[in-house]
Amino acid sequence: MTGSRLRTLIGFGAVALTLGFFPALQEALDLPRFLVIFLFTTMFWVSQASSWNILTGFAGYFSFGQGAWYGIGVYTVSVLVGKHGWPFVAALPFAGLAAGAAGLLLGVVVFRLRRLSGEIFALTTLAVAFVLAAVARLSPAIDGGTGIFMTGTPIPEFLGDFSTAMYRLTLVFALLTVLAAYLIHDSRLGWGLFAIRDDEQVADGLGVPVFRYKMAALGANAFFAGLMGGVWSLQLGFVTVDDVFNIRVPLFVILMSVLGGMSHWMGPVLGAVIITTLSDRLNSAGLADVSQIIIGALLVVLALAVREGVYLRMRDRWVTTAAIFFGVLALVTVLDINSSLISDFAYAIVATTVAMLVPSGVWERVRAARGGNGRGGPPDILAEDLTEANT
Amino acid sequence: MSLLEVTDVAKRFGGVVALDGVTMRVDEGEILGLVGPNGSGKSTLINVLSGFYAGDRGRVEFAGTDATSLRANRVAALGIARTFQIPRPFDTMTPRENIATSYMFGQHRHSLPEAREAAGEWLEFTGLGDVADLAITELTLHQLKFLELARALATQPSLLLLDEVLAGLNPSEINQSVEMIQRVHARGITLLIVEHVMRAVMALSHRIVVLDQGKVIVEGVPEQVMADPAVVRAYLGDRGLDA
Repeated sequence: MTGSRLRTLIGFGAVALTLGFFPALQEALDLPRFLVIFLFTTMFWVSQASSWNILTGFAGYFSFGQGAWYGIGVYTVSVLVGKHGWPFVAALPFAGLAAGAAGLLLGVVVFRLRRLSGEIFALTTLAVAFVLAAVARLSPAIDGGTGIFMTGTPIPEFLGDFSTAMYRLTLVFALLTVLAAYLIHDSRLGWGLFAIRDDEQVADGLGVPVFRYKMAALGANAFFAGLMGGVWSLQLGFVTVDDVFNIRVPLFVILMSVLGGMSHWMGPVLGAVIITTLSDRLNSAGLADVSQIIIGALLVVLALAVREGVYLRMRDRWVTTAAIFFGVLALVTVLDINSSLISDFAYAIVATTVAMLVPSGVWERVRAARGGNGRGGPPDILAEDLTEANT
Repeated sequence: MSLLEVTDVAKRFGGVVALDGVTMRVDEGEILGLVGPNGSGKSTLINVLSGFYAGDRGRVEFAGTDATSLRANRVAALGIARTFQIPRPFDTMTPRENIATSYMFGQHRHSLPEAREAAGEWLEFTGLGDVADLAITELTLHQLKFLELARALATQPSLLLLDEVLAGLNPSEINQSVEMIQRVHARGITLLIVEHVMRAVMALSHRIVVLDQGKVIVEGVPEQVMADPAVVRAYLGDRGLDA
């Protein structure tokens, strides 16, 4: 148990160090500058998806509120910096605090009403974003419908140039979010949340402090979403209500988490990497419109086919996963199909993901054909027929 | 000495009176059988005692502490645990994880590593060792009922409310469960059992309380209670007395 925690933390440190030195590496090896931008975009989404999953994946409260928490973060920094001349770094913590406070405020209202769960909770969180958008649009102190310029915001020198600064900030906050998700996942709090997700009434009866735990999950979700929103206000450059409070952020975090798997902290991380890579490649190929269709279709397939998400499948079949990933990567590199580094990875990621989306029945058959180290006994005839019909 | 003291507890749902001023007690160390026809308010009483429903009036006192209208998790922290008639396991968890979760909360707080370790004891006690790490969907009804019991026991309660643990079991499973309940009692846990299987209630209970239409109509030792005309009438109607 402590051994597995140690391994995870060492892995964490290794990833942090590697990513931390990447900008220097990029300059030294003269890799495309675009990689830095791609990676910080990915880290933004890793953080958003991971924070959303603390509430929805762990506690089982389906939320459309991600856009609201993100938006509060964006606007807190934009108003403090753009309208009141605060230094950017000083404004950042308030992005997290304001969003976290808003989350807790919603929680006090919503979680006190015992019957307010399921669809009603989801709709309430969606409504919060609409209300916030209206307030921001109408109030001159926030936006007033004119938007706020963030371009030219001075960034402290130690963070480097714009892209490097964005990279470092998103890296730190993404690491913090994922670390928080991991620590919650493997703790009393996390298990209490899982119990709430499975059967809240029973959890309550066994002594899980359901109100406090749900508040903690919602608070953590909103805090990290807001913090990263604050960072992202720089990337937006010109902050407008329509750009910030739209359905894009909540939809993407849902898709990423469902794809990767919502029961494990690694699920949203993996989902975010896959979706960002995919959508980046489609966009750069000039297929931005098609990308929406593909991503929508993917969501339908996922909802129907892989409930547990691809992460757990990849973990269980890590040899197959590694073989496909590195096999395709090598193939693409050797054949020189595409010279860009991301595209090579994109092929490998897509191939691996698609392989993991294949129904598990088919995998069972493959295993059985190989001599079967699966469960003993004669094959279930009915299941066999069903699998046949599916393939 | 009484462990649980229930005074004039009432609960209505719209126009339906489910509990109409129930007054009863559970003595420390006893097994109390709570019986009554369908719809007599047994399950409602369990739900009020465990904090799932707030009573409309009356008072519940547990081990000298006022437990009236406490939320369920506060009731659990006082040392009252319950099972559900239809097992409600946490279905994304294995039996071991179910039990570990309840051990972490319950009457005393424990850390996750402690809970993982302690889960083994309850798995062994209920004979679920072989299925400890299977998916919930692979368990039989009998095993799910035992898991329900193990999970309640893992909260380390002083008082355990058992809601029809025997319903749906076959005769040999019932015998096994009765024996299990006796072993639970032998650990010093006070029990309140709601049960329809009369043979088991008579064998287990030190005392029986009979509910009818939300009221306590009789209480006393098993033989005496079952011979009481009011009880026969409640179960069989007036014609029961002619037979």
